[in-house]
Amino acid sequence: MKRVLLTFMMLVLVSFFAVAQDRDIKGKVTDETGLGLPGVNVLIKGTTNGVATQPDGTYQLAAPASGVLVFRFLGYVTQEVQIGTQTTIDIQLNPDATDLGEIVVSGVAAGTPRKKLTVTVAKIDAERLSLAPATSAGNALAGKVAGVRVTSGGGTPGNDASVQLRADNNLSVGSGPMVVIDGVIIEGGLSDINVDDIESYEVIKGASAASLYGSRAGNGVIVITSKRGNNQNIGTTNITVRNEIGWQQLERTIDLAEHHAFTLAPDYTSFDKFTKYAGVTYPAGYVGGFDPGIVGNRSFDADHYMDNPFGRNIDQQKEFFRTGSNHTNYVAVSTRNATTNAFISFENNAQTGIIPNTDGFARQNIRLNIDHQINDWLKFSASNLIANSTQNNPGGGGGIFFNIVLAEPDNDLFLPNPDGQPYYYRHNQWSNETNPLYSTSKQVNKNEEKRIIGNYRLNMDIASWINFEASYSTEFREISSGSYSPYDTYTLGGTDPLGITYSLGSISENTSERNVQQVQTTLNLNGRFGDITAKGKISYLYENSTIHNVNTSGFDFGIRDLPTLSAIPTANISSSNYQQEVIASNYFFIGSLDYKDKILFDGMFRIDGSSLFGENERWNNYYRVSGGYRITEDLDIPNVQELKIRGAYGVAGIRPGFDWQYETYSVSNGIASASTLGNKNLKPSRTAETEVAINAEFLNRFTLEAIYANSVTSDQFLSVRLLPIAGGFSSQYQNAGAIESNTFEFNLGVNVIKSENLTWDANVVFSRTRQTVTELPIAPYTFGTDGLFYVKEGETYGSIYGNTWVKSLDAMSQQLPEGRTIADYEINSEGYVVRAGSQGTTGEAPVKLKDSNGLDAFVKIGDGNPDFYAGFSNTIRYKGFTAYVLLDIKEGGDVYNRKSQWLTRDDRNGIMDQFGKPDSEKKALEYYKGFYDVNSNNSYWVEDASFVKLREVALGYTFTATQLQNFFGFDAFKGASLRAIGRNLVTFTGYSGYDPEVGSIRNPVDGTGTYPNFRNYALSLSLNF
Amino acid sequence: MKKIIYKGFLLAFLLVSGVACHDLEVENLNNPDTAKVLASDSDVKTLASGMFITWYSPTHWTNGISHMLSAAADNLTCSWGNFGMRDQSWEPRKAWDNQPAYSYSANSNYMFRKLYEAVSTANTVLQVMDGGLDIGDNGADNNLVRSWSKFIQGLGLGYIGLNYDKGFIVDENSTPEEIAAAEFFPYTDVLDAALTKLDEAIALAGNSFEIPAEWMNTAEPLSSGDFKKLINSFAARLVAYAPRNAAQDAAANWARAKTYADNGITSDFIIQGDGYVRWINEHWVYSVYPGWGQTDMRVINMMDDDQPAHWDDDASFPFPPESTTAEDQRLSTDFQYKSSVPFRVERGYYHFSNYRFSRYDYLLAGWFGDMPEILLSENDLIRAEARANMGDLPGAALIINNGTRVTRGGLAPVLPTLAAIKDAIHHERHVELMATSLGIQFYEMRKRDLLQSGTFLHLPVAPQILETMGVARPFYTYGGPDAADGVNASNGGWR
Repeated sequence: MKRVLLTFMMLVLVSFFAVAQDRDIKGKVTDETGLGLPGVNVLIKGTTNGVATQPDGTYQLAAPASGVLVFRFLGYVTQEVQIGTQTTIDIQLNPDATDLGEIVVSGVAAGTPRKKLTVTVAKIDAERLSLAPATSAGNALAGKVAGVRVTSGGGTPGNDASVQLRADNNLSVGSGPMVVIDGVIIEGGLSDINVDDIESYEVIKGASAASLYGSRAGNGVIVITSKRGNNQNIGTTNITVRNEIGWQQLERTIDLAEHHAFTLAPDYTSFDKFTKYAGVTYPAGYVGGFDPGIVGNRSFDADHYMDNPFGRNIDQQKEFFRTGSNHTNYVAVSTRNATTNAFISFENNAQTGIIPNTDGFARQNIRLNIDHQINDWLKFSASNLIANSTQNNPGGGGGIFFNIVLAEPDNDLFLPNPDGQPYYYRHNQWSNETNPLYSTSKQVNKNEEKRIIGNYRLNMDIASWINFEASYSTEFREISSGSYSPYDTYTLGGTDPLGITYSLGSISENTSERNVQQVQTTLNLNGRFGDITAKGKISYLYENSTIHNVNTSGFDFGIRDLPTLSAIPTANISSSNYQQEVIASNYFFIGSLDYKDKILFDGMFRIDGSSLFGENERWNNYYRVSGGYRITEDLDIPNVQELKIRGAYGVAGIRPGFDWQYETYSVSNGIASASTLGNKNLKPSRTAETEVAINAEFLNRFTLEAIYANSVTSDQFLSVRLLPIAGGFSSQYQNAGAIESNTFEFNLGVNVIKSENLTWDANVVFSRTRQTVTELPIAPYTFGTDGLFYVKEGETYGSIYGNTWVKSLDAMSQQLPEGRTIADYEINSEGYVVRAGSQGTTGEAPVKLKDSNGLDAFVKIGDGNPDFYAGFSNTIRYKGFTAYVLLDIKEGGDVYNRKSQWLTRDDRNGIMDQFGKPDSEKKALEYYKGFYDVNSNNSYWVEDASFVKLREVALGYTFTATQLQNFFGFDAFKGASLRAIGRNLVTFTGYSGYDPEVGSIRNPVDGTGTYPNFRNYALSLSLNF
Repeated sequence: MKKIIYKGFLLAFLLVSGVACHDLEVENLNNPDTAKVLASDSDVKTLASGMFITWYSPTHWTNGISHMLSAAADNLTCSWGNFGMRDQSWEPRKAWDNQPAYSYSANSNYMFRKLYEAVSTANTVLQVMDGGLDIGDNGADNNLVRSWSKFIQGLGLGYIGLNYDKGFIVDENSTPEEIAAAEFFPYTDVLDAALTKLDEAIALAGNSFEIPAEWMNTAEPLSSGDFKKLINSFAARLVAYAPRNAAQDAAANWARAKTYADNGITSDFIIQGDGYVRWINEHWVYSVYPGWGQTDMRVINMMDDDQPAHWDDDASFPFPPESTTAEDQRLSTDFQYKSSVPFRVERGYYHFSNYRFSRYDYLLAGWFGDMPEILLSENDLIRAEARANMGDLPGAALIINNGTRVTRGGLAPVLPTLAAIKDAIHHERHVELMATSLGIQFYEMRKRDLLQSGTFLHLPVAPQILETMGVARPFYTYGGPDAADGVNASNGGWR
């Protein structure tokens, strides 16, 4: 018994000894950038024993050699390490790539897990972007982020899309967000930034979140981070090669009239080169185009119905627009060793577009990102992008898009000019509109841009709780633009009977040099006080940007076919230049407190000084307070894994334009004339936003973020008209007026299926914004294209105003002309009031609504703001197969279709074509001309521009290394991916133009000169070595 | 320890490098302010040099009202909506739309605003000089700049008075309170003020100086003597063209007009086209350019009575053939026959015409060359008109018969009767003075009660100005068949 007892005691002792054999383990936990991570839970697996890391990320604990240490920190992938013989265990935690667990670094005090955010920052990462890589960084966000509106107002290759975050809160300045690329606040666009290099977008939507960025951030901020070599294993090198080839094609053409109302000659069928009209005498051998030998004019049939055929019926749009092509060649090399990582890439991209005789857009990008750990406390990082792009715009400018739809179906665009040049300039005897093919073939219009974006950063660990960072950023752009029309370019005019003459040529050469420099010094602070983790940042930012433009142009070449200004007499050469410098100094502090991972608080304060502010308002303050409570840390709610409520209030601003504070005289030809009165009190506009939100994860497959935000932008910039009798100054910029907006948005993610071989992720984003002018101390005014939009206190910002038409007999009875009774009127087949008995006659005309003064009523006829925006994406992966679809949805929101209105002037609008209609339903062309109304702004041309757009589609297969090895018989590749990609493939809409996505967000007008958007389908092959 | 010192040194260095004090004052290097513009006498002279183009732009560019006035006067015909041409040539006429939303209210606003900008700049120049600034060495250019500034004041106020029902009267002596009060005066008062300014300019032009060629883009500098003549001719315009109807025309101060005109120009006053940069008479351009304006049939008929005076609004109206026996030979020298019309049928055949004005087609080749602003014949016509209205019918007839009616038109000498002389003047203003300067044919038609019924006789103050002054909507207007009162809108008409 004693032996048994002894044996038992020995076992206990051994066990005790074994426990007592714990060794001291120490180490440091760092994040993906190498900074110490405080508050990381370090546990001995299977026990509750453990410690939290210190502010500098270090830890120390005793643990058995047989044990396993578990490192767990919210937002990072948990790691386990077998202790074995180790006494020092340093570890780097990598961000958790799952949706809500990602780390956000923008607009916050320090890298913050999404679950602990107190403001709204959306993030789109490289994996999502790579499904169907956008052609540029500007349009990659369309349909992907709630509250982000991206509109490509035209298809011109290389043009920027317009981007707006939540509401349009500004009267006189744009509503595009501030954009930061790798720490550089850029001033150029995004069209020459390639998507393949982008690691992530962080979208800081509202002023409350963006307040950290101060007086430039009233419209929100987009932070773009490019790829680096730090996310791969030490000692490895990765090579990616991607090639894409695609085709560009107009999705649909505009419905144009194929019949006319003119009286045909009795023998018109004998002629198939042109339409032979009655009352017109044609010279012998006439085959089309303007001919001074033609005598007489076309006249209408008695009924004025557009139901007569043309001599031939050419689909001019089909003849004109071509199928374009695009291709991308991309190669990236990334490498990492113990102290250095680097990412180098090159991309060549070309897009021809769909216009003949036009080369389109091409760009070449080179990127070099490098991080080097100089020693254990000093790190250097550099990010560089060199971009070179060329944009060839169609010769003839926007006019060609009008001229091609005005061309009548019997016009032959391919007739030669009298001197033998192709494409007869006056292809239509009955119109002065000129041949668009001629313009594209004859004139050159080119923009070239060279751009360097660089950020150079030193990061220095000073002590365990403090870290210092200094950075220098630069954006340098050299933009050259020019146009050239040769000597023998035809123009209307002159004394030749043909009415055309050589223009004698012209040339312009414009250069713009833009240089942005920023210096920023930052102290990063962190600490842990009991259950409270504190992080902070104190920073100073100096900004300097300069612009220097030189424009030179000349006309009437002295020597032909020499595209140089030297070939032009000096008297015909003019030049001008422009220069500006903007300086800003900004100081800010931001701090965050985190109590037990569940009670979260942020606060910041910023002072901005800028040369753009009037001298009496040089410095302006910005601030934010925000907080959150993670309820599920305290309450166990069935089927709810995460529930957080949060709220924020913050103030950001928008800076005024360069010369708005100054008293200015405009200068031309060495002579000054009064222009604007200065304002020393001009200050930035002020956007104050309140935001509340809920974040949730439930049923183990849903993630939800729902946000309500209210913002008020006051101290707007108003160009206040002055009476011209005091010094002759026409206006002065003043801070006045306010716009209030409300936005509701949500993001719902569903992990529909998640199994070993099959996953299906769906995501819905939705936003609804309302914006109202709440204060306007000056008279209401119109703005935008043709003054279509009306700014009035109490009215929705974005409202379209103009005349409208009487559509009820009740309304008509209120404005009967003298001598008329209501019996003289009836409602026609389209619902408009017309004179009784006039339907189908030339007397059928709509009646304009009158106001109480008997004037044409000036009323709201539309609203450019949609009811809501939504995006619906699905990604299905089955083994190596990937299918991805993104639907971009816009419900409501009107577009003023000016192009359709213009087409009515020339009888080209398809709605006017009466062929095939029963006689009882036919209308004389005058009926439509009534609505045309010489292009007055009226309700007839306001169209609902709702759409559902198949924005992105991708079908592909990803080959694993094993598959490739089996196929090739050796270890050729680490992976490969083959994809068929579609962009803007199909648009479901009732809109009658090329595309309801037209005009800008603020100015949704379909003008005559818009390059249509087009679809793009492509094949992409990506190889990883 | 060394490491800590090193870190501290590096940190301090970086902080000092970054957080330096930066001056936030930046100068606007693109646009001068008042201080720069008035910094010296030469600066003030330069400012003054730009005042004529400030007057020229609203009176000759498409931004202004010249095309709508010519169309309303049935001198130019064009059914395109641009510049208000169609809206002022409807048959029957429509009221002027004086609401800010109306597309072409901007043309009226531009006209009103730019004319006062010219006046205000002249006021500024004169204020500085009144403050003691001499222009040129020992004030050598004082008379030049003073006379010039008075001239601009007169032109600015004068063209307000010719075209609007009322306006402000401001000059260098206006107090800030008077300017802030922004009181309107009837056009007659405004014209009186304008003539006072021109009289002062004339008096100052009695001194010797030279107007630099680039101030008005003339081929040569203008001597003060020639400038004096020019001011007189402009003043004669203001008197002769001011009447809104025949009764006012008969009651006009023709003695004053005679004095001005008799002291007016003795040769054509011509501005040089500069290649369509700034000095371009767009009023002429869009009266003649292919596809744009043509000559109204009424004018064609005046030259050849075999041509219809009106193209009836009827598809069966026969296309008039080219004239072969025109009474006025200028139909073949200054006009070009067109066998087809570029206008749209449904806008009314009444816009159609078979001729275009071709006299100045030489400008189409590059937009360089002579752009007549005041032809000698215009001044002569006012001389004749003044004499005729004062009873000197032989004197009036003599002037006309020595002029373009006979020399260029080949027409029979006019008889010395008031009616014949007035008809002859009417003819010449439509034919000889076509597309030279703003409104000549409109002013001629209105004071003879010939504007089609309902045509406004002058414009109301531009709605943007009323809006700026806080006037309640709707803004007043003139014109239209229901407002044909003969005072603000024509109640007469040639047809």
